[in-house]
Amino acid sequence: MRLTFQARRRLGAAAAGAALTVVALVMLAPMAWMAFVSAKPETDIFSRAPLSMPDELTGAHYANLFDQFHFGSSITNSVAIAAATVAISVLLGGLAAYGFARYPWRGSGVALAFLIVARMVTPAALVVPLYTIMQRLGLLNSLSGVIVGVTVLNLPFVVWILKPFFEQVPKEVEEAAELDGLSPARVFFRIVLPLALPGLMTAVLYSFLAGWTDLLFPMTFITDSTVMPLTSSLLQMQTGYRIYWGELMAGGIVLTLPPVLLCFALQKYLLRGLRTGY
Amino acid sequence: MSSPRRPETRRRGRGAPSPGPAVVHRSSRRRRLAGIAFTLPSMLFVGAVMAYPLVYLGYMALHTYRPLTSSEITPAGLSNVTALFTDSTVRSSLRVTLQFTLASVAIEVVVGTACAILLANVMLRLRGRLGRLFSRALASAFIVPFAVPAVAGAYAWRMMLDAQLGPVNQLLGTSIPWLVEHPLLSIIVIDAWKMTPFVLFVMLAAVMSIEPSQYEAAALDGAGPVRTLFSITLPSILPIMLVTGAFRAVDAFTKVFDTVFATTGGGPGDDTRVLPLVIWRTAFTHLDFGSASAQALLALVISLGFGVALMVLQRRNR
Repeated sequence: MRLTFQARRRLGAAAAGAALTVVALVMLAPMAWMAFVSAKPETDIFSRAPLSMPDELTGAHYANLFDQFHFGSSITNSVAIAAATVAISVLLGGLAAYGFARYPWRGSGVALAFLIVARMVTPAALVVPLYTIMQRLGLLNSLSGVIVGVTVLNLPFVVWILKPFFEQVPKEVEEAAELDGLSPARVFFRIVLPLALPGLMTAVLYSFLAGWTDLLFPMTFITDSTVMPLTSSLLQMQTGYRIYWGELMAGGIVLTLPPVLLCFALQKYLLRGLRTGY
Repeated sequence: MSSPRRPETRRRGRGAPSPGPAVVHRSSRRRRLAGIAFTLPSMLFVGAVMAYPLVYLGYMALHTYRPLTSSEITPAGLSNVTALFTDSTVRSSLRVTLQFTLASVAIEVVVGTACAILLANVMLRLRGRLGRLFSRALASAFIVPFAVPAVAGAYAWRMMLDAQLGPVNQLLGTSIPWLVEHPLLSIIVIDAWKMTPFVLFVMLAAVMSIEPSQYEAAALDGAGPVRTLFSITLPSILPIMLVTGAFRAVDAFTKVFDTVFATTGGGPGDDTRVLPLVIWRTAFTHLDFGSASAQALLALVISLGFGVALMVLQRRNR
């Protein structure tokens, strides 16, 4: 009796595994498709059945990215935007999250609510006035305009991720350090930050994703293709006359690989940041 | 001194003599200054780059600014705002955005929750080394859409759904131009592909936190898997399911942009012209910043309205 029950359970789990495998394949399909097309010769893409195996593989589309579509500078620009987004939002957001977690003052509830509300702002609504402001400041066609836009939308999220991590640091540790005469800033940088490292990793990962994947700000602020990051460079491969599918899929892989690998490596921290609520 | 700090002061005095009231007083002023100092940089940044632009947005909504014809900003009264109610593009975009939101979030919550329950089953039942490897491989696969930048995923799907170049039609033995004939359905599927993993992992945590003793009790009572699902699993995770769905809906309604821009571009006609896309096109294709600002205000009122309502609801339930 007990054996059949166990066997039935295991059979059920196997069926669940089979169903999930099908879903997982659908989830992987777009990336697999990009990789497949990017390595196909041009004639195979356009004149043979989509799923037929090509006779040979080619790196020509990847080479074209650098020859025709400025991908060398696009990669540099994407790295710069992502790095600056990480640096600014984790530094400012970390300080603010710690302040809200440990040093509540009379107006801090309002200030926190203000930051949370900022999380809900429609990016497309913000980009309209920000464009005219950037234009007046002469910051169009520069990375700093993009960085500022991406960071301001990401910062509230970082505060919201980090606050619970700082709340979990045992207060006794900080109080002991304070009694030893360390200033609040020292306590934060020397004692608290190392203890909240898992939270910081989560914040770094999500900030990187925000900076690396953003399309709205670069496509609006940047028209000079040497200043474009990867995301808005992809749009250049679709002209009024044709779409450079081979290059587009190759560019998609270049854009996709870093965040996917990073998310694999930091899977634990990625899942920690997945919460709902404000 | 506020009452929540008292117990902690008492705790500090475990070994050493506890600090007198004078010390607490002096440090409370210092603490307030420290609190302000820690949060000030963020507040200034958000104030300068978000609050000020949004105030400026309100100003622009009351003016006409069309840089293509004139570089002058002229007062327009409420005409941009009243135009919102008569403009058929805005009205149809609200309908399209709502349809998109309801359909994609429904799919994400149902498929995501179903997959979470199945994955929890696999993780709890297949415990050998191979079983653990298998469930880790599945989890990694589900992470991928989450990590793929929306614009790259959108272009990949656009090619996959193409009438001639796409594998979907080859597999189905059809040649349907999906993005032309079923544009809304296509962007719903693409968004569901991207965001289902988010719901899946949130729900997985919820399913895994159900007490095993509840299942054991059900098994002792002779409850089958269907009965267990409906009387234990689903009731336990329903609140989280609803909250996740609600937050996804606010996000989908106000932030859908990349996917649509890179696939249908809003077309054919107005079929997939979601609200954020209408705002962007009015400003940066038609170069009509006054009207775009009024539309952006509408989007803000909707997103902040729903967002604040959710926030209040969640606070009350806590």
